[in-house]
Amino acid sequence: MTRRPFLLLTLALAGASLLAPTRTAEAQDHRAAHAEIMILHATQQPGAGSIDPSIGNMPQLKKPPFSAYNTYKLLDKQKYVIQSGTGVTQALVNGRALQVTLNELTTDGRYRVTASIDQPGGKTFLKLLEVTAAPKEPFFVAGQSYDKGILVIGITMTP
Amino acid sequence: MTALSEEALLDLMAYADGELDGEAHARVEALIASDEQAARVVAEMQTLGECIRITEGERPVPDSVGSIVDHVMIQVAQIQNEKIAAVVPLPVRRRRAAVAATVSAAIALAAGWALFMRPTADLDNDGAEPQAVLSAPAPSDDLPSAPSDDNQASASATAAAEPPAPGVRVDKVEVPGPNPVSVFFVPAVAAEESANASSVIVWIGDTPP
Repeated sequence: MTRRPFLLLTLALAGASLLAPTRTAEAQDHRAAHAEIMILHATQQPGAGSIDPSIGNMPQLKKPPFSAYNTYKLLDKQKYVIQSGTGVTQALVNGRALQVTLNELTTDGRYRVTASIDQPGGKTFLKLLEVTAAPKEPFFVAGQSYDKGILVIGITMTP
Repeated sequence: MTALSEEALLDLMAYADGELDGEAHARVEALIASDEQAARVVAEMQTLGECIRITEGERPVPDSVGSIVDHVMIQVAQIQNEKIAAVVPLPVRRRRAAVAATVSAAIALAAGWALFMRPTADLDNDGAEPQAVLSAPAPSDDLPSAPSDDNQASASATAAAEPPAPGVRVDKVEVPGPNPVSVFFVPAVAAEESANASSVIVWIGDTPP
């Protein structure tokens, strides 16, 4: 009876020891960053339109050029951990594939990121977009036709 | 030298476009005479305006990008009193020398300015090579130019100037084919300061295959 609590404690400590290095390494790895990718569907609807609450606070959608559309719906939202020099691929609803690569973290804390969009058949829609972004400052790729509207891809890099 | 206010910038833009008269015209002329930065902004705007007038008449713009850019311009004009930043179109030069459609743009993110370009990958086999260059309010001598020997059928946009930190700088955009590219900078608005108040939008026209 007295051994069971000890056994549970031992297992808990063992589990914590397995998780802790991973989190610590992730947090301390200055060559990695989080990339949040949001896929929005923009359309022009009768009336005032609406912005999907799940999109969150994104005042840009109410300003030009996004204000060309009055309705925004969140189609997908993913968050990735990207190591410097590597990338992630996310499928888009229109059959194309978005690839985001973290090229490097600059000395002033910015992220050099490239994005490309390939489409079926080996063709490329966006061959290369290269940006240098400050943390939490989003950049968008917009304009792909989709379902009587367009797709808006928002990418935000964070530590 | 103090930064020009948003209202002053708008006045300068209107002056450069020849839209002011009377008291407003005199007021801006006085500002130009007394403020080197204001004079430089007007000179830049007049140069850009001339480039645009030259190029707009000869460059066909697909409906998709034309409509969005025009729409944006209309909207910006309508909501300037809501402290939305001014939108400055980048000039485009064309050359009949190569198949490549390469566009280079330097975006100087002056306070309260939003800049956009519509460098069209105009691959109509006439060898067009549009280039969009803007630096405001930097002197014209500092404007970079696009490489002229790029033979790829692509549109490439480069924004080279440093945005105010924090921010997003577009270093390069390459889009194969005729899809037009526009780059918009949406500056932060004081009343809406948030972690992501400023941003950059790369708008790619999705023309049918």
